[in-house]
Parts: sequence; C-alpha cells; structure tokens
Amino acid sequence: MDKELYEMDLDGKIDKSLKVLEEAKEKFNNIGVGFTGGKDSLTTLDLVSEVIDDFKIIFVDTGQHFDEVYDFVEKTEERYDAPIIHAKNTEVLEKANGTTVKKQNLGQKNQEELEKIEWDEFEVAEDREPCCHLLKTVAFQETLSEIGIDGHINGIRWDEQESRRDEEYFSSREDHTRVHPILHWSEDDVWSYIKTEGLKYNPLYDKGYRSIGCKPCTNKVSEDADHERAGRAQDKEKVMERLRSLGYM
Amino acid sequence: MTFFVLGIDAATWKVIDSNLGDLRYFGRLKEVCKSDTMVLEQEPLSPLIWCGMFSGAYPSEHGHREFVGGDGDIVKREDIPVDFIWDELDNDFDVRAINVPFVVPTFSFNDDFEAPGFGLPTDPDEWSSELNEVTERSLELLDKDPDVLISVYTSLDRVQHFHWGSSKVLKWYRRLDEKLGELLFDSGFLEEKDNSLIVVSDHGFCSFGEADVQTLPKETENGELEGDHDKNAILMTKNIEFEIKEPQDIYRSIKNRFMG
Repeated sequence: MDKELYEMDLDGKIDKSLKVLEEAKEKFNNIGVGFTGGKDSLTTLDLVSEVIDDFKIIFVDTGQHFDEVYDFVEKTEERYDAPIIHAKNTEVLEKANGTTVKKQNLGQKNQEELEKIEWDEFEVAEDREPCCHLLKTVAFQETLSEIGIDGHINGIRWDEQESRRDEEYFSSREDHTRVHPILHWSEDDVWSYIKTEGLKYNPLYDKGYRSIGCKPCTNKVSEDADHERAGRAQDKEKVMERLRSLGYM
Repeated sequence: MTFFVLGIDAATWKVIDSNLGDLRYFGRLKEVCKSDTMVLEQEPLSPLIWCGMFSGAYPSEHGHREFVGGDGDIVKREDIPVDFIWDELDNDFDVRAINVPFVVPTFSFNDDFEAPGFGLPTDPDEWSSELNEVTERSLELLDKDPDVLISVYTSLDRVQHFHWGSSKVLKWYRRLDEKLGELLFDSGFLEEKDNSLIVVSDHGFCSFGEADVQTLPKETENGELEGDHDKNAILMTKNIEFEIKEPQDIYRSIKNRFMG
C-alpha cells in the first residue's frame, strides 16, 4: 500500500487511475471489466469507459444475487453500451436445485475443482468455500479463458481488507493480467466520485447494505451491527457503551 | 394533508447559516419557511427536550432528564409518567413517529422502524445508514398520507460530539442536506398547499467550554469530546399558525391543529 497515493485528494487519485487505464489500453488486446453490481466496480467501469472504447463487462452470475443486482446489471449494460457476459457455472446450479451437490454427479472439471479443495458434497448458499469456489472462481476462470481476455480490470482497493494491502496495479496470472485502477481509493472516495458524477448506483445501498454480494451471504450494515434487538441483556450493554462513548453517562 | 415534524438532533444555525452555499436545501427551506432560533430555558439535554416537545410537559412534570435513570437502568417509555401527542391523537387520527430520541433505543409509534445503532449511531457507516433509513421510511410513510408524521435524524448530534470544529461536521450536514432535498422537495411535500411542516432541533452545539450549561463530560472512554450542547435550537415552520417559543409549543401546535 502506497500511503502517499492513498492520501492524495480525489482529483489526484482519478488522474492516477486514468494513467493506469491508459497503460492497460496499450498493453492488452482483449480487455474485460469485472462488474459485481457494487459501488467499486461501478466506479471502475465508469473510469474505464472514459479511456477504453472496446471492452467486455464480465458479471459473475452465481444465481444467488438479489433481484436489485440483476436489474442493475441490466441497466448498466444499457448505460455503457457494452456487452455483459454472465460467467455462470450452469452445471452446479442445475444439479443443486435446492438439494445437496454431490461430487459424483458433476462433470470432470467441477469434480477436479472440488477435489482440489477437498469437498465431496456441499449445500449451495450454506457451505461457503465450495460454493464460492465453484460458482465464482471456477465460473470466472472458465469464462475468461473461453473469451480470451488478456487484461482483466477490477475494482479492488488496498483498504478493503488486509490481504489486499500488498496488491499492485498490474498483477500477472497464468493466462491474463489483472489490472486494479482504484487500488488507492477509499470507500469515501468511491462514494464522492459516484455522487459527483451523478452515477446511478445499486438501490441496495440505500436499503442499508454496505457491501453487496450474494443474497444468502450479505447482511445489512445495521443487521451486522445490531442483529439482536434491544431488551436483551447484551443489547443493554451495547446501548450503555454507546452512551458512554457519546458522553451521555 | 399531513402535519410533519422533522427533528434534527443538535442542528445549529452556526453551521447552517455560515455554509448556505454548500447546503442548498437548508437554504431553500429558509426561503419557503419562517425561520427562527428557539432559545431554550430548559437544560439542553436531548431526553428532556424531546420528551417535553412531544408531551407538552415540563421537566418537573415528566421527570425525564437522562437516558439512564438513577438506578443505573436505561429509562424506557413506560417509565415516563405522561402521555405524548401520539397517545392523545391515536384514536381519531393516523399518527406515525419514527426514531424519536427521548429514550434509547429511539422510540417509534405505529411503525416498526429499527434505528441503526439503537438510535445512537457512532460511526460513519451508522450515520450514513440512519440518514438513508430515516429518509426512506419517512418517504414511505408520507406516501400513506398520515395526519401527523414525526421523524428525527440523530446523526448530526453524534458527529458533532466527536468532530466539532473539523471539516467532518460540514460533510455530514451536506449529507443531511441531500436527504432534506429528497424528503421535502423531490417528494413534492412542500408543493402541497395543505401540508404543514416544522423542522426543529432539540438544542444547538458549540465548542466544549463555551456553553452556558455544560451537559457533556470533557473526557469519555473514546477520548475527549470536542463539542457540547448549547441553548440555541433551530426552528423552521410552514403553515403553522401557532407561535412556537419553547419545545412544549411543538406539542401544543399539533394539538391545536387537531383538537382545537
């Protein structure tokens, strides 16, 4: 994480992002932009559209998203007039159908992937590791390789989580390079940009969600913080803590 | 026809008037409303003021001064021995209230609104959630054309406790200003001639040590507080005949409209 870049003002950050994208435009022939329906990928997509004329939008479709996400993806396709490719592990979704997914019922590729992470069967939306691996990682990698993307741009940020603090703007993988133009942005920067540019964002944010993922694994901010309601002993202590921190006690 | 009381905990003219260029909807509200300062003679304590504002009772009558009582327990609605305006009107009128901070968790009436952070939001995510959720729910309720709607934002008070004197305060006034735009202007509420509006705070704010009455401690578990409550509350009214001079007059103005 480069502290100087992270502490720049927003105009400086935008300039840096546009330079990264100019470089990506020069380096790659077949560019894909990852889009999740969330604020970071929306910002990234908007920046990409300023610099690069020809790109594909890739949406990893786990079949588990909120209706608002699917609606927003559709609107985004219209707005940016770029094809959205749904990266989807159709076999797993068909086999799941509300029941346990068993390794022996899957094709060779999915069987091999489950073996890699040492699972024999799992429940979609309940067992996170195999669910995310097959419905996100495998679906995404297969799509990237099918359409021959050599530069994949996405909206990860240094301050999102510890594991991303060492990421770089260009990160090589076996068959493509990942490009991270908004690595140095904060959450506030992203919202400022969205507001300033007047971008239509996913309505789930106004319903209290802070980070948008699959429906079964995403909670509202308030639910994360206060999933137990007042009246119970632990809630009383939480209220007391807040009163003390605000100086009311 | 809706009588809408919009509370903004701790909103102060000190910030609004000196930043009207940034606060477009506060500015527009000042143009369409009568605006004034409600100078408090009672202690500028949120539980005490909001309680008097919606019960019409004075502190000596409702006896409610702090969120936590002398026995160390959090004071609940049922511990306060007075009726509120919503209790008095409920049989004959459609009255809704959300996030009224005379108790914590904040109080709602005829609605199941659950306030972020129990109505004591303490970080930017919770401030943001409160602004969004109070706005969204108020708009939903306004769509139902209630006779009376009372909604309160508490975020500014919490922001000012921690950040008085920093640019963060104006940032959150701006965020609130956008919400005022959605709630009062974009919704068309102010275009309806029969609608009435009171925008009011329970007290103002000032730097620590400047207040006539110190209401907050300098030191808290989370460090020093930068600001304190002061006695100058904001008041803006539209289509309100009743003259409002003190918090209890908010109750009287609603009662006067509906019960004569």
